[in-house]
Amino acid sequence: MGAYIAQRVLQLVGVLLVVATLVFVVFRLVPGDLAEMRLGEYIDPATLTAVRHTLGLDRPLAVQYASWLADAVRGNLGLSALNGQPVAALVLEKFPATLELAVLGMILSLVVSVPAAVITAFRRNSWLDQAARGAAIVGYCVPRYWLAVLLILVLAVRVRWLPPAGFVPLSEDPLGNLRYAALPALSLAVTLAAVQMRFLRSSLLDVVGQDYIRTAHAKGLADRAIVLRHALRNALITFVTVIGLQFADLLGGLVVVEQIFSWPGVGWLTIQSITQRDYAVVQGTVLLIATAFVLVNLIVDVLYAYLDPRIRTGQGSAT
Amino acid sequence: MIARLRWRGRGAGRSLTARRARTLVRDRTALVGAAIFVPIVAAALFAPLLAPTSPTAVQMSARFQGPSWTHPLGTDELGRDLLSRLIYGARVSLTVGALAVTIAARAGILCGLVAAYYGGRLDAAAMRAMDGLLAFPSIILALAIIAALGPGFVDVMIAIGVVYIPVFARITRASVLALRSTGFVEAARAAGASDAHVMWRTLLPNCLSPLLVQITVGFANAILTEAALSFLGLGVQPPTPSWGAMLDMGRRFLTQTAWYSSSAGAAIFLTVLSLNLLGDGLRDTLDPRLHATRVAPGRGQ
Repeated sequence: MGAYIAQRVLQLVGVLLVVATLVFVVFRLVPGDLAEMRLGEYIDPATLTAVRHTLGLDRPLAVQYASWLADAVRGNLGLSALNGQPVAALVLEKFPATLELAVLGMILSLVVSVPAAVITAFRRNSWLDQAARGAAIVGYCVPRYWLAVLLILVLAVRVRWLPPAGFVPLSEDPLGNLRYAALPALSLAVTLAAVQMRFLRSSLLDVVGQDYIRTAHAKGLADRAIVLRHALRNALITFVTVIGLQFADLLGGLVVVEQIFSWPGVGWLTIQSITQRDYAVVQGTVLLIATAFVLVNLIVDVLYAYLDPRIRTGQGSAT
Repeated sequence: MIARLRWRGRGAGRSLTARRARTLVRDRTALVGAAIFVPIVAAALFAPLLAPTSPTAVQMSARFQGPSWTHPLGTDELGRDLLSRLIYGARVSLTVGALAVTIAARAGILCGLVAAYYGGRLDAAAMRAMDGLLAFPSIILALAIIAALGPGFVDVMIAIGVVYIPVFARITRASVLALRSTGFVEAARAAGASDAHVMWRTLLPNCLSPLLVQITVGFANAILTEAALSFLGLGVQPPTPSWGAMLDMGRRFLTQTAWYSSSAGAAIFLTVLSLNLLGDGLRDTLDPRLHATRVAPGRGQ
């Protein structure tokens, strides 16, 4: 297990290096450089050269890259062009709010998808199964931004149960915070739940066909025990990977959802910074989001290897 | 010899294609998908004939009207006809989606084919680059590229295209790796076919099934991403009608008219749904393994 983790961490460093390089390259595509952006259009060439020198923009690209990378590794992501604050601090300050939505959305989706998958897999082709599968396809295809707008329209504008948008910190007013979080978390959860249900249902169906389930039936175990103790436990192994992959969807969805509900998280900061052309901050948030995603996937892979020994020993068909 | 091999390959492919086409038509999922998708494409193609008015004709005296005979879906904040904007919006969504998926498929297939065929360091380098691209949630990477290039029709297309390259590269690579040392590939090589010939004429046609499914699903994802970018104000710029931008404007006027955002959202939803249904149908038709599992559902009972 130790060797497996070491190998995966090494791979992770490689991927992160590629990620950082891509981020650096993408933001060099910006027309005009940082100095021009900071000074505006009408500026004398001498000042421009001076500012370029202080920002290090007159050095060769490879040197700029190396020093940027060295800074980034140490947590120094530069300063915001707008208010001069360190980017890393700005991004980290917004991070808890994003994490909260992500966790709430994920919990909400699991609460729905796991029971739904179990019921539909064991009542295969019943009307309940068909209805749930239909709902899952709709839930998978419905654009999250439209769903969010519909939820606002129904639950906030028409019946006024929940506030349409806004935020109070969790530490100040936990209940108020949850009221504000309800709609954004719900709009995140629907798509996640739809995908989870489809996957878990089909892996449960795979498991249900196995010999040991038949044995369990034959020895007279109650359905409940078979589902919980045998079928679900084995189906959940592959399910863990799905959850890991869903973090990409979740992180992307957060950008849109935070924007709609004015939720001051990392996604919201990204869009604000793009519209204000504060590239240092955009670069920072993109780097943080990609890093978070890569880390989550590492954790999932390790968890997967822990749950299924065939992975870490390199045996079996699952590798 | 090569000619004969190719001829046999094509002959077999044709009858299989015909058989698959028949299965696809009989597949209910695919049929429902097509029944929704074809009218949307038709609406985009014949937009000037179908739209009641010009999508950009401003009429300030007729703002936020409800549905009526002259404006079947009502009007927006500038008195423009919503149905016309919706119909013209289909052009933007479908064009950006189609071109983005073309960019992604071409680049991804080339990358996967070359990487798997030559293997070794080239393969390792290409796959690490793909891992790097995959490390970004799709919309985040698209956002980063848009932030750098600036919003606009072509930039959005490129951004979305780049985002979906790794999926195509991976699928192609996996299929080619499985086929590389099979008999008919060896035969083509033994007959003196060039590397390029083996890659494009022998290997690629045999990897098409999963790629076709991915093109359909990728098309849907590209449309979703385009609409998300437009929704965030970073896609196709006004006054060009786009579904994502309509949804965004509509939500600001939710209390005046619910039709505004609802119709745009429904259009995106139906397009994405139809493409996913088509993809599901294609997958069922093209993947022989699924037929096997379909036949044996009662195995464990």
